[in-house]
Amino acid sequence: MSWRWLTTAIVALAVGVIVLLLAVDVGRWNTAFARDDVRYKVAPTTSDLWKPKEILPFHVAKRLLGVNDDLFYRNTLQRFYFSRPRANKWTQTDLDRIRSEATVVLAQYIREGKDPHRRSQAANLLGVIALGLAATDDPGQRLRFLLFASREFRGALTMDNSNEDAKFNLELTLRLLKQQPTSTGGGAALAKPGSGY
Amino acid sequence: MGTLSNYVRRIRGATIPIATTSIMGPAVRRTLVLRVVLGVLLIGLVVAAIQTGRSKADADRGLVPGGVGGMLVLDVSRSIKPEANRTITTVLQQLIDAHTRIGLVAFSDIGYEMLPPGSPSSELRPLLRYFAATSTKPGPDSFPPNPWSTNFSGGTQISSGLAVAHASLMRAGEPKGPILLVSDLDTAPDDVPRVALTFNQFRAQGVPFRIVAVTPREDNLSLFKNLAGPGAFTQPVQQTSGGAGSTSGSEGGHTPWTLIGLALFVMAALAANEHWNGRLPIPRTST
Repeated sequence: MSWRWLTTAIVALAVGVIVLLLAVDVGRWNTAFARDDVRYKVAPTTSDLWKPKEILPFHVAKRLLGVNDDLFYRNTLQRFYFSRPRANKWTQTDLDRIRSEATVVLAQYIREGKDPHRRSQAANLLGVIALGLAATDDPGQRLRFLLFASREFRGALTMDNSNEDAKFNLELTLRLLKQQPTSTGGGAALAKPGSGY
Repeated sequence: MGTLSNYVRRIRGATIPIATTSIMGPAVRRTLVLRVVLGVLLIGLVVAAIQTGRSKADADRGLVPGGVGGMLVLDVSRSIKPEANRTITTVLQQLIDAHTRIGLVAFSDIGYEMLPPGSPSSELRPLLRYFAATSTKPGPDSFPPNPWSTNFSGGTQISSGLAVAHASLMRAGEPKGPILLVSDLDTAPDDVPRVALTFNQFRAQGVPFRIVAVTPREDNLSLFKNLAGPGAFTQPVQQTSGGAGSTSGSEGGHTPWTLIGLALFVMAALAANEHWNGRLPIPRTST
């Protein structure tokens, strides 16, 4: 056997090994999504979710599968969970900070996400955080966050008009806005500019 | 080792040994080592020169994203310590030297437009004396007082400064004008959500913004990196000459001495390579 055949055999073997390792990595990603979606439902605060150990460098399998948007979506949902939207901010320290960071991540997903259905969900969740932030003593800030929430719910419906959660939340927010006291009486926040409400 | 050389010899096939080249073995090895050393040195020098040139390009591009116009949003709250004066002075001096046009908003718990957008950056020069980089007299109140310390400085509401700056740019017909925030990032806890929403709004509307953090606390820096992104942070370039309020002598800072030095070293390394590692000049024999 000449050394040329030997070289070809070595190269073919190397390529075969790389393809085999790539297949293992692809399998790991597949397992990671299925397994960690269940883990997230059970323990949402787990830190190592959707992070399979890859053998090949440069995230070759991840790039090949094109799972960036799926990962981005899941990480965004996890950040929303961390913001503890149901928690009372007067009893929890640093809740405003965590919620603020969650708003940035959600807004980034709304801007950069690819699936309109998921972007609509993110906009709805951003509105929910804004509703939580509206629980403040300052009437001006309350009004500001309620207006922001209503805008996000409207945005969610623009992206996916079948989003029932966003419809419900928008109606609730508009009712809250109507109750807001202003210098000219309630409901001014909902008046059209120049309508003389 | 012997096995490897045997294997290489077997792959190469049969060769005819030349008796005269064996005496050149030490010279060949020395040349190889010199070539490797000079090659590594040259690569290092070229990388350093590229990095220096890039840093200079960044410095020339300026602190404000886009390089032209925009608003400087300056924190003058009580939390700004005298140690921060050097950085603030450097920022102001760099903007003055850039001969650009810029507006200025000073803020504490409210924002106040001191210069409208489009003002010549030389208008920032009178501010330099309020941010003396070094103490002017011994004692606890060693730094000169600034005009905001008694009436204006209080808590920090960064969102108010950003909002005033953006409103000024909108009024000036520059809704996408760049914004440079200079602050210790120690904003009030209830202001954090508003800052986050403001940054979200800037991103959504395509308003470029940068942050110069002056002596920030680690937790505040971490928070703002999460809110604004690590890419939003920038640092002023320290001047090698000239002090607070002084622009004379700053011309000397424009000469890229480091780059010139590196270029000279590259030339010297190339010359050394030609001198020691060049081909031997063998005169042609006349037939």
